[in-house]
Amino acid sequence: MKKILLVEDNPADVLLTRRVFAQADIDAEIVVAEDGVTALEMLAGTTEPKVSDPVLILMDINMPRKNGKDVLKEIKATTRLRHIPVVMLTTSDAREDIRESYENYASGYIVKPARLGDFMKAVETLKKFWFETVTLSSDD
Amino acid sequence: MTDTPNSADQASAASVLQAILDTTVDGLITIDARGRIIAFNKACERIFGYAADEVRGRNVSCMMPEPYHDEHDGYLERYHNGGEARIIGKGREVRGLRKDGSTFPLDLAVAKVEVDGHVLYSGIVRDITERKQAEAKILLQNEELGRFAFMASHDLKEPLRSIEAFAEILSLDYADKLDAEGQNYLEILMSSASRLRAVVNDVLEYSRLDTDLGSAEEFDAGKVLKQLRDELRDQLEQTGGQVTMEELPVLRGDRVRFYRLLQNLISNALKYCPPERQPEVHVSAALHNDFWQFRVQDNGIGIDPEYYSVIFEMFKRLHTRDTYSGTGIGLAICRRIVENWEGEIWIEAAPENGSVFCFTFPATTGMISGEGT
Repeated sequence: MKKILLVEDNPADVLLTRRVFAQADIDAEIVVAEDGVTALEMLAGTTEPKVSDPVLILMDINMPRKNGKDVLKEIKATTRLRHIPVVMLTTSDAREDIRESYENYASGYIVKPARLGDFMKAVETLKKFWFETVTLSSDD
Repeated sequence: MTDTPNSADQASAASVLQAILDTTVDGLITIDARGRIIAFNKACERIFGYAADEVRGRNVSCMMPEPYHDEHDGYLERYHNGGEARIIGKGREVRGLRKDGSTFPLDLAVAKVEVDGHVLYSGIVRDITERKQAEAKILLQNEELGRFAFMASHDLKEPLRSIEAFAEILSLDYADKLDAEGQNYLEILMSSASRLRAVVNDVLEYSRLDTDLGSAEEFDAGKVLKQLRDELRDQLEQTGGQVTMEELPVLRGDRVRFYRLLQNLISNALKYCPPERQPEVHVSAALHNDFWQFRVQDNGIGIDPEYYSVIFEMFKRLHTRDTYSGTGIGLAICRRIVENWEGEIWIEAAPENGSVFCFTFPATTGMISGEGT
């Protein structure tokens, strides 16, 4: 089964994202990394569960140990990983965060919507684009 | 008896004058047309650290750091030859140079005096070091407060989003498991969270107003208002409201902020209208010398003149939440936006019902857009 790596330290947001993804009926398993360092270890296969080739990475920005922007930079600097689309999913709507993310090759930037309905709409759009429209390099 | 003063009287008057000069808190320096010091009172001795005898006859530029030092003679000469007066007759903030080499900020006011056909200049000097330090401290504290408001409101957003989302999930998935009282509590929870979000967003926006300055561009105020009217279409249809305008000017500045200002003022005008009345908002602008004065007139409930001066203050609300909702920050945001382009904002009573919010915007062109309807 396809895997989505969700890098998110807030358990409430993990629960919420899982619920909205399930509701959107996205055909992929969500694997959670609780912070940036763990995410990189899971991608490198040094920490369980190993997620060596997810179809998509959803990345929070404000996290302990290593923030999402730094994790993004490391992923894009790693030949084996740089083809994986990384979509930032964060509360921050600061201009510098948005700009810096795109400068470091983020594939998208979603400000976590306040309302559940809006979050659902954002995830539906995500699904349409990444799972129904584009062809990913890891697709068979 | 005559009124002609005798020499004893003259001597006494001179001593009185000298005593006044010596006890004046502000420094007084008198120079001749070539800039040489003629008189230097006690306050000047204290301010500059020189004794009067040390400086009498010297050029006053010895108490000026660069660039004033080198420019002073040239400045006096230009002024004598009919040039522009930068300080004389006006007053200005400059820097002074003490005997020990240290410099300090001072307020300087210079007057031209003519005695027996000789031109003299008399300067009043006030050391404003403490005032400048206090100003710098206030500025720093304001910056810190701004950063604090930004961080606090930013960090509040995340838990608040969770509260809202999970309350919504409860109401969607578990409402039928709650009795009427439980459902009431849930509704209170949701409406409180949503009100808190409005406050947090407004505080965040307010705290960003001084830092996230947009770039200046030329824009058509009429087009901005039309764009806003399109955005408000649903609200206008629901209330039967109308937004009309006269021909508005082409401006140069921060278009996004200008849009936000009109959005706040017009949304208020639509909101604060008695339910039985259809809201009417009319926007006009008139050129006054070097600025445009905009008027946003409504037919709403109006504002008691008693509150005209406080309505732009933060968290100032004139109505209960049950009557009209709001965060009490909207007009404070408006004032801050207008202040950022060095304009003014105020309120006037409308001729019949309602209020007129007026604000100014610097006029860079006298152009009218022709977008009025």
